Amino acid sequence: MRAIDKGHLLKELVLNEVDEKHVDSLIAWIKDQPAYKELVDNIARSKKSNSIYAACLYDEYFKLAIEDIDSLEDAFIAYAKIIYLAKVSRNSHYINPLIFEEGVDENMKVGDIVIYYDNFLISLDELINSKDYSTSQKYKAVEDKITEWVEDLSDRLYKTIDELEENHRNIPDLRIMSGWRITELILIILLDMVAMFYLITNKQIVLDIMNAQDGTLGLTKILFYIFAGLFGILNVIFIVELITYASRNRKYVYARKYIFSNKRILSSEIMKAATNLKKYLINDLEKKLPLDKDVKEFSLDPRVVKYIHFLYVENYRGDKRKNNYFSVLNIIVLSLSIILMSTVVIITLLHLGGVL
Amino acid sequence: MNKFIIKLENKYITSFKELGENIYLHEDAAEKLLTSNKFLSFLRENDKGKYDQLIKINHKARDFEEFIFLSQYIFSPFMNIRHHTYAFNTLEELGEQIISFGPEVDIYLKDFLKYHLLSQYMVMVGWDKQKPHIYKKVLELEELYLKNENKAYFLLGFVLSGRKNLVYYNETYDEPHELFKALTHEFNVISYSHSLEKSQYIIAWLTHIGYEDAVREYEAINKLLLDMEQKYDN
Repeated sequence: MRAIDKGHLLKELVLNEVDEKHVDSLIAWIKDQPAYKELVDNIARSKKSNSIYAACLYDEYFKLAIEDIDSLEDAFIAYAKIIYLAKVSRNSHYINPLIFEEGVDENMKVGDIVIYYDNFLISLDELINSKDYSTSQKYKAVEDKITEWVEDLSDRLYKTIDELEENHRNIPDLRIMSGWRITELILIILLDMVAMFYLITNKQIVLDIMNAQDGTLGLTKILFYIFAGLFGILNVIFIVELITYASRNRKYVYARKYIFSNKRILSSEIMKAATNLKKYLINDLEKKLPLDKDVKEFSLDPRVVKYIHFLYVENYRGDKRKNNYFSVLNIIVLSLSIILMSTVVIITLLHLGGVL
Repeated sequence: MNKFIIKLENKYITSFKELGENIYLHEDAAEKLLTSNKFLSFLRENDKGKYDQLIKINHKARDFEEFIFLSQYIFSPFMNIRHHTYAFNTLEELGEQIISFGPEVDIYLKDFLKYHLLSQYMVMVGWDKQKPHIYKKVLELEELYLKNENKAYFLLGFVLSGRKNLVYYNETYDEPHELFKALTHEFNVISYSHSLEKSQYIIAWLTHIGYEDAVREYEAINKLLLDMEQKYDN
C-alpha cells in the first residue's frame, strides 16, 4: 500500500471526512495490483468449477463490490480481502483431485494441492517435508482430506441423482414441449392461420397494397412489410427456440440415462479413486518423496465428471428458473405473438366495420 | 577518607560528589574508571557502603547505559535527572526536550524508556509516591516501548510536558484539522506520509489528545494489510 494512502487514511479516520478524489485514486491503484488481477483470473476460472468452495469464493468476490466503495477505510479493508482471496482462490486451494474439472491447470501436481491444517494453509509437498508434525499427524491430515474429497464428490453425485429422480420426466425447463412452448405453438399456428386466411380472402387488397407507390396505400404498404417481417421473425425465433431446447434436452437425456444406469457402479468408482490416491499419498509420505504425479491421474473417468457437471449445472439452472417462468426466448416469442395477434384483431374489426 | 585526584577525560575530580556530578558528561571514561580494579580497591577502603552499592548495580544493570546512570546517584544522590550530557530539573523539562526534537528521535533520550532509567529515578527520589499517575504512565510506556519504540517515546514527551499542541517542523498546531490541512497539501503530503509511521510523532500526539480510537483503528487496518501482503508474497 502506498504511504500517501496511509497518510490520507489517518486523516479520514481522525477527522471523519472522506475525500472522494483519493478514494477513486486508491481504487484505480488497487485494480492495477497483481493481487487484484490474479483474483479476477482465479474467479473466472473458478466459475467453471461446481465445487461449493468455488461457489463461496465467487460470493465473497461479489461481496467486495469494489465499485461501490466510498471511503479509504473500506478501500483498505477491501484490498486486504482481495489479497487474501487472491491467494485462497488459486486452483490448488479448492481443487478436488477425484473430480478433475474443465478449466483447472492440466499440469497441476498432487503436491501443489493446498489444504487447511492446524490453522495454516499448507501444500501437500510442504506437509510431507514439514518438521513441525509427526508422521502420524501427517497420515491423519491426509486421511481427513481424502474423506472430505470423497464426501464432496459423493454429495454432488447423490444430489444430482436425487434431482433426477424428483423430475422423472426430465426437468420441466428442458422439455421440448413444455407448457409454455405448447402455448407459444398454439398462438403461432393461430396467427399463421389468420394471416393466411386474410391473405387469401383479401388477395386483391393485398396486391393493391404491394403495388402502391404513395398516399395512404403507400403508408399501408410499409406497415404491411413491417408486419410481415415481424411474422417471419416470430416464426424463426420459435424454430430457434425449439432447436436449442431439443439439443439441450438430448444431452440431458443422454447424461441422465448414463448416470441412472451406472449409479451403483459410480459409488464404488469413487471409493476406488480415493483408495488409489490415498495409497499414493501415504507411500510418498513415508518415503518423503515429492508428490509430482498430475492431479488428473486420480480423477474419475472424465466422461462421468463431464456428465455430473452438466447435470449439476442444468439442475441448478432448472431450480433457479422454477419460480421464474419466462426465459428470454419465451418473452420475445410471447410478446411478438400478442402484439401481432392484437394487430390482426384490430385490423379485422376495422375491416369488418368498413373503416378499411 | 583519603584525599584523591581522579582524571575523567580532561577534568580533574577531587571528591565523590564531584565525580557523581560529572559522570554524565564523560560516560565512557566513567565506565572505565568505575570498573577498574584500582578505583574499586580505593572505594572499598574508603567508603565500603558506596562500594557495595556499586557492585550491586554492576550485577543488576542490564546494560552499560543503566549502570552509568544509576552509578552517578551513588556518588551524588540528590542530583537532578542527568544522562549523556542532558540535565533536567523537572519531568516537564525532559518532556519538552523530547518534543522539541519531534519528529526526529534522540537515541539518548530514548534510553529513559529503553533501560527503565526514568522509572528507576522516580523510585530513587520518591516521585513514584508523589506523582503516582505519572509513574504509572511511565511504566505503561516502558511496556509499550517493547512494541512501538517511537510511539512510546513521543507519548512520554507529551505526557511529561503536558503539552496539548504539536510543534511540527517549527509550526505549531492546536487541532488535528489544522495539522492535516497543512500536511496533506500537495507540497507536504509525500514527506508527511513517508515519515508518519516511521516517526510515530503525529500518531503519539493524536493518541495523547484523545483520538486513541481513530489511531487504534488506523493501526489495526495497517497491521491487517501488512499481514496479508506478507502472506501473499509467501
